[in-house]
Amino acid sequence: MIYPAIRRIAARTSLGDWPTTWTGLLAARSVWTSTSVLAGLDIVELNVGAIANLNRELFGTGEGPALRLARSVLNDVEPDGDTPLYVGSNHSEAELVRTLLGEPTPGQGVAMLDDRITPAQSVRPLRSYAACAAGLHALIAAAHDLVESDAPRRALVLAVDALSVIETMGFTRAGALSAQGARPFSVERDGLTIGEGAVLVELDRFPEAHHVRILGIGMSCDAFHPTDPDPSGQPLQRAIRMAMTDAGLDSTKIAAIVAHGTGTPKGDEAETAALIAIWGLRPPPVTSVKGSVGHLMGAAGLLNLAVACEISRTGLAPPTCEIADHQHLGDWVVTGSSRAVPCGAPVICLASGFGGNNVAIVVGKS
Amino acid sequence: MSAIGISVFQGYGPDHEPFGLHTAERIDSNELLKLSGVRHASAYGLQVALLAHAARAAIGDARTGIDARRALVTNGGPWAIETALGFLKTARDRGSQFVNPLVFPATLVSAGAAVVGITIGAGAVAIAVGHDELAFFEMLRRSRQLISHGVADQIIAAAACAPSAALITTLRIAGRTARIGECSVAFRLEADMHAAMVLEDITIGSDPSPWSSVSLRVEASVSPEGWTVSEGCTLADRQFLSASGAVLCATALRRYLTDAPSGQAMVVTCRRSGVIGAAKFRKR
Repeated sequence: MIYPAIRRIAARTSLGDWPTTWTGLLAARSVWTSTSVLAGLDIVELNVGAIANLNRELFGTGEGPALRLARSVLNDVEPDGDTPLYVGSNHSEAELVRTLLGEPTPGQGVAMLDDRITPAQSVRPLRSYAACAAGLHALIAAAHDLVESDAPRRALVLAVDALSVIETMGFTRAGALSAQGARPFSVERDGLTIGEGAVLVELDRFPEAHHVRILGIGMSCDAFHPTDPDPSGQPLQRAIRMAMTDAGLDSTKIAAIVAHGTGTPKGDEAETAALIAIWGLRPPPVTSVKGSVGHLMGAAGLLNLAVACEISRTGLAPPTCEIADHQHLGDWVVTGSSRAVPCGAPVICLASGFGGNNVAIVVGKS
Repeated sequence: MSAIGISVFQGYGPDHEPFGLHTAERIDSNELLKLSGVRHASAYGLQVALLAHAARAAIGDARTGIDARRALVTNGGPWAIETALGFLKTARDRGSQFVNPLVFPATLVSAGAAVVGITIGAGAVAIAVGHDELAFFEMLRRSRQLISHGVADQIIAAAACAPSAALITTLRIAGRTARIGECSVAFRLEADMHAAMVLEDITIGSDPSPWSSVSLRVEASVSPEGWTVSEGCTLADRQFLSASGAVLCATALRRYLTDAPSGQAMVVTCRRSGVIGAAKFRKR
């Protein structure tokens, strides 16, 4: 199957726009005290006062942070109104919640985040909800539509999530937040760091030679637990194998892996089990961006795809931050500085979400 | 694109009214939650319990373990806002230490798909798609793609709707006054063609007359006041939000299966804000 190419990438992360994010990742910069209103707050000690402060910021008048993030990346690419838009988000109802927590009045108008984006696009957005795999599921829907249709030529895929009180409290109360910052694949890892951001990619059915293309798509579902991954890693393994088969590649051809790599004890363990089951103890270089920019939730998968594209394009795999001084699960984890891989070679990116939705996508120039 | 076999199932037992359209006064919410098979079902709410009942009916209510070739596609939408609001209000009024972490995953739009996917062993995919009255047409399109791209052999496309205080408030401030009804319905789509009817094609766009040569048509349009259905089926005086398309198709298909001759095609369309979702079915 001939999938579309990734023509353009735009992003907003705690490191900055996409070019700044990419150079920051290569330089092992870590900015997970975000630009968000949560910066400066002790998220482990959230109390009524803090919540009230957040409410004023997050649930005040005007647009919410997720919507602002979405608009900012859309402005980067200045889309025409005819290009279909696919949206993946964890909390696209946040705009509704903001309205309802205030003092809504009849006729005020209310819409989910996706609908609030719509005025910038004349084409109705298509939405996918798969928790932290939402961005990649949106991408798959767009890729499948482009494969099956003669028109349009291009599609935009947007994934966005902003820091929210709900997820901050939820992860805090679930004991899933790191006290020191996420250290993906470290043996001393103690949880995730919540990030926020937006990623937008433009897909094109008729790529130019320098464009990186989607080569293979795989997906699976743990159907195991609402929040915990299947510790065997078998469903994730199935998704990875499906993607490689779809790409017509065996595992030895994969040059690098952009892991989901949350830094949670259970998540990294399941992911490691999947990688070892496929590659043994010598997988290709593995990296995770979540030590640098935190976990972008619904946008995390699409960020991984953007990173995989840049790795294939530039031949450089960025290091996984925050583990330089720690033991980690395998020496295949890229640490310290970026690692060279063959330019244009296939790179696989992964995402997993609550409920166990796993996505693996192979990109490359082949 | 090849046709896909499609079968329709309702979310309640066979003694109930079709698809639960008229059962609002008779619903025992506690019983539905208890029998849904969803752990901590009360945290997820009645809509998710209804979804589980429909999905389980579509696989024969047999817990067969995880099937790597089975997928679940559900309707998205603002179902979680009641839970999300409760979560936030607890934190605001009593303190974050009183927030129940078990409720946290239930605040996600994808929560219903995730937990119902567990109950039916959906090992391929468990996602929610779309969030308004055209959601079901998006669900059908994704379901077909998942089959045609080899991701799954069997898709359970399940949609449900149940009112909540937050949803009612949302409709009110949006200027919509119709009642929200309870419903759940599931469709089983399979690549093998044993079903009594097939889904031949599906489209979402601005074309006002897809497959205009097909004479048997059921057309609906959505406005702030509610639904207008041309003919072929009657809907209750309620709104089903993102489950609307599923209710429309299921109701039309029941009559179609009974009344239409073999080989007859039927088109079901739904118009909302200038966009039309349309599905073309054919009876064997």
